Amino acid sequence: MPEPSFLFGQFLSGLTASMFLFVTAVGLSLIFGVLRVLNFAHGSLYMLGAYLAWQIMAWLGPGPEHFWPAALGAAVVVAIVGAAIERVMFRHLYDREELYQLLFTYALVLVIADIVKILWGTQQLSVSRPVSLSGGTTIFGTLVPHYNIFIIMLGPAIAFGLWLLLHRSRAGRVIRAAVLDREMLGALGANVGWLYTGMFAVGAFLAGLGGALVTPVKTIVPGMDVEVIVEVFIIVVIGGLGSLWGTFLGAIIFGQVLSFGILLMPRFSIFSVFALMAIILIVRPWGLLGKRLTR
Amino acid sequence: MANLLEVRDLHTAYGLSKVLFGISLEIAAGECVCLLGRNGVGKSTTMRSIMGLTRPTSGVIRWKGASIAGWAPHRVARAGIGFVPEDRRVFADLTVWENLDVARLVAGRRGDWTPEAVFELFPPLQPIAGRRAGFLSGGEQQMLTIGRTLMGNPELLLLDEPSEGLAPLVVEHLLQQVTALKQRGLTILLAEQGVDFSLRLADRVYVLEKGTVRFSGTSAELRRDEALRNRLLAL
Repeated sequence: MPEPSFLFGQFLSGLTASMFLFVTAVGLSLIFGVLRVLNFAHGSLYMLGAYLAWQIMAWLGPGPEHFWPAALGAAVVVAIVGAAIERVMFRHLYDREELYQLLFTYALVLVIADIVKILWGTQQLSVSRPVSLSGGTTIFGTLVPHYNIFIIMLGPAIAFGLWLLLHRSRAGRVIRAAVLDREMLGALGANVGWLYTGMFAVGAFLAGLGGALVTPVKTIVPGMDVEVIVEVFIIVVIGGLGSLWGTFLGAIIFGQVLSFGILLMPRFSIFSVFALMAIILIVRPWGLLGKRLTR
Repeated sequence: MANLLEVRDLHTAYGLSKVLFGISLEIAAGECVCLLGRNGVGKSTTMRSIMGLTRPTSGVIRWKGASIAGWAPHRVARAGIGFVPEDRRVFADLTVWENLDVARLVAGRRGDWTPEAVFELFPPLQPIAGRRAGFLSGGEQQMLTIGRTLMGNPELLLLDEPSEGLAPLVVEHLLQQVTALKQRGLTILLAEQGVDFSLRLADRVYVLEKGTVRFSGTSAELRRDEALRNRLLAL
C-alpha cells in the first residue's frame, strides 16, 4: 500500500490535469449544446492558443508577469478566429448531416495544423511560468506548485461563471431559449445567427485559453491538437455532451482515472480511460449528466 | 385606407412540393382578417412566408409599402409583425415570466406591452408566472405564446389556429381576449379551421383551398350565405 501523501499527490496531479482539460472541454461542450455541431477542430483552436501565447510572449519580451496578457490575448485572438470560422464556414453545416460536419471539421484540423507549421515550424517551444506563481506549497507532504493550485481553482471558477451566465442572466435565458427553439426565437426578433457566432466565439475563447494556460507545464508541439481533442472527447462523452456540470464531472473522472490508472497499470494508463469511455458509451450513451438526444 | 400588409401572387414550396399557388391578400390597419380553410390548404404556410420562416418562391410581400419578401424572420419581427405559431412552442424549460422577458429582450421594440400588461390581459398567467412553461395546460400555453409575441409590441399579429386543440370553454375565453386585443386597435391576421370562431372575430375573410384564395369578402357575407359556406368549407 503506497503512502497517503503519495496518494494525495497523485490525486492532486489528477485534479490539475482535470482542470487544465476542463477549460478546453467545456468550450467544446458549450458549442455542441447550443449549436448542435461537434467541432472536431476544437483541439486545433487549443493548439492555436498555445502558439499564440508563445508568440505574444516573444513580442512582449522578458517580463515576470507577461504570461498573463499573453494568455488572455491568445484566447481573445482564438475567439476572433473562431467567430470568423463560424461566420464564413460553420453556418453552412447546421442543416447538414453529422457526417458532413465531421468531415468539414476534420479538414479544418488539417488546415490549421499546416498553418501552425508554416508560421511556427516544427520545433518544440516553451513558455515559462509567471514569477508570481513560480513557487510551491507543501500540502500533506507533497510539494504543490502554485501554478497548479491556480489551475485547480480556475476550473471551478469558470464552471460557476458559465453557470451564472447561462442560468442567472438575461443573456443566458436567450441562449437557453435558442437551444429549445431556435426558429421561434428568431421569429420573436432575435438575430440567432449572431447569437450562434457569439457562442462559438465563447467556446473558441475557452479552447484558446486552455491551450495558453497549459504552455508553462507542457511543451508546445505540432500534434498537441490531436492529443487534446481525444482527451476532451473522452471527457464530454463520459460527462454528457452539452452538459456543463457533466463536463466538469467528466474532467474530474478523467484526471483521477488517468492518475491512479498509472499506478495500477503503468504502461497502459490511457487504456483505463478508454475502457471507461467504452463502458459509458454502452451503458449510458448520453453521458453521466447528459440528456438523452431526442431528435 | 392604406394597406398595412399586402401580399401579391405568393407562391411557396417546401422542396419540390408546392403549397401556395398565387395567394393575394391585404390587411388595412386596425382590421381583423381571417384565413379560413381546412387542414393543409396553406394557411400556416402563408403566415410562415410572411414571417420569413419559409422563403417564398415568388410573389410580393409589402409591409407599409416596403418589400419584405426574403427577409430573415428577426427583421420581419423587428419591423412590427408578431407571429403566434399554431403548435404554441413555448420555451418549455423557461418559466412563464422568463418566456415573456426573453421575448421582450430579443424583440427590442419598446411599447406598451410589459409582463404586467400581459398578466392583465391574461389573468390566469399571473399566479403561475414562476412555473415552467412546459408544465402549463394547453390553454395557458396558448395565452403565453400570444403574450410572448405581444412583448415585441407588434403592429400586426399573425395568429395561427389559436383555438386548435383547446376545450370549448377555453376557446370562449380566448375569443374574448383576442377581441380585447382587436378593440385596442391591434391589426390581426387569423388562421382558423372553425367557421364559428373566425366569423365572430374577423371583419373580412379569405377562404383558402389547395393553396389558392377561393373566396374573399366580409364575414357578414359568408355568415349570410349558407350555401356558399357549405360549398367552401363542408368537410
